[in-house]
Amino acid sequence: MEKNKISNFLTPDISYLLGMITGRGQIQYNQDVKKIIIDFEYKSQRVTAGKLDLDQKLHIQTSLDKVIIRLQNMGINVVKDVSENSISLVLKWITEDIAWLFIKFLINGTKFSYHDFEIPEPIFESTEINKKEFVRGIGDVTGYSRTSNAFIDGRHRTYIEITQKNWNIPPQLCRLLQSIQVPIQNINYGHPNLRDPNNKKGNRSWAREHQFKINCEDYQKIGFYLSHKDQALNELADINKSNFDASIPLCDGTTNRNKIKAIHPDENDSDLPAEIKGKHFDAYKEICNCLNCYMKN
Amino acid sequence: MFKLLYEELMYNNEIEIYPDLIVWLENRLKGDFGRKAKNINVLDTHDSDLSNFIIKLKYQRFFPDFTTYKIRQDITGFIEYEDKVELVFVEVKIGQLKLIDLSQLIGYSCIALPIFSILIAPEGMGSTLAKLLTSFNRKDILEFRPGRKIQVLKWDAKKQDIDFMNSIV
Repeated sequence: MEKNKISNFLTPDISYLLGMITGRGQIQYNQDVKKIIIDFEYKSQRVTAGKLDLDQKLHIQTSLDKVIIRLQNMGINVVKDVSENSISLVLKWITEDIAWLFIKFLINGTKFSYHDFEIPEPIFESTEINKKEFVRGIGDVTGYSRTSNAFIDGRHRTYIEITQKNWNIPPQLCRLLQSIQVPIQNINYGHPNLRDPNNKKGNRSWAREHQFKINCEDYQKIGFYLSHKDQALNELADINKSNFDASIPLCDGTTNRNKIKAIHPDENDSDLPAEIKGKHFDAYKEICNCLNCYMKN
Repeated sequence: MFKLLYEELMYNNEIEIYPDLIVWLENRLKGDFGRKAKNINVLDTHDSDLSNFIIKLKYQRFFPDFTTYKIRQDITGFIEYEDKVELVFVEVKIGQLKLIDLSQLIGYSCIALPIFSILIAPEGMGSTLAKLLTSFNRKDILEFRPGRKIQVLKWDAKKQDIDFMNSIV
């Protein structure tokens, strides 16, 4: 008889919640307070994509009402907290009930924010439906389909932006996306060799979020629950479909870039993780390899 | 509104939705039951009685009452184990889901007792059904036998997946 596995207890609802927490969640935990705060940040009130011009704040607020109902149906006490440039969901627990303990266990008990969370291992063992819901959770808080994200050939891309402090998530998210056949066009790590290859920008300007770049038509099978993000994605994906035929393959772990980059003085920066600190990289896949890429290790 | 119009344009009638749903359901059933089941089949069953499909698949011994299954489900999932075969029903609608659609599926589900049934449309629930199931929280009517329920789902054609924000699973 098959043993019970944690992944057997995952549902689309739990997977989506875990995705949001992994992407932008923070845990506040002491004797009196047990909270998870999930931020939905936005820099400007309006967002444009193709012919669309949308009120971001309004769309987030309206879309979150559905998310709140979904979480409430799971028995979670949740409220929406609206401030100037951010809307947050605040999940509160009065006692350490089974839901709190289960979520805390899944997102690794000793970690407290999206800066160091990892993708829960049971997600990798779960069904495709749950994996997609998890990625939707991450995408709703960290994903953007902007006209300015287009590649030099004009092909529109969705960016999943992972905090630069977190070097665990990129290879894990890549593995997850590959397992559901979503090809990644490029990962632009927050590393000096990739972000400031000629050392012209200075001032640690390379230390910005890791960007997962995915062609919009490929990200459509994931999509967003936040309505303005989903509308922008579909608008840009339709443009891509009219202009591009060839699809890109999944990564096979090999690097085919031959261009040599100059040495950057910040390759030894103290904020870089031990796996890559002091090393020079000519291509993003070389960083993936050092970060325990599942295809190489 | 934009999205709704687009989805309406993607499918002209119910039958055009079947192939996408068959792929999705087969994937879902394999994910949920594939480790224990011997075989999983999802078929377009809209044009013949369920009893005929049971004969075709040689499943008669698993369904003592199969001759009474004179019902036509749009799509049926067959999950075959060593000692039993379990069914999953799918009723597909091109417009908004109505109370009468749910009533029909409850009736069919009570006859052949699938492990669960799905009522699904790209437009999701109509206002009357949404009010009954969500505002008035009458989800009890979805349970046609203890532990056996009807799921009321919104199909997202672009994602080729369920819109879980607007579904009752």
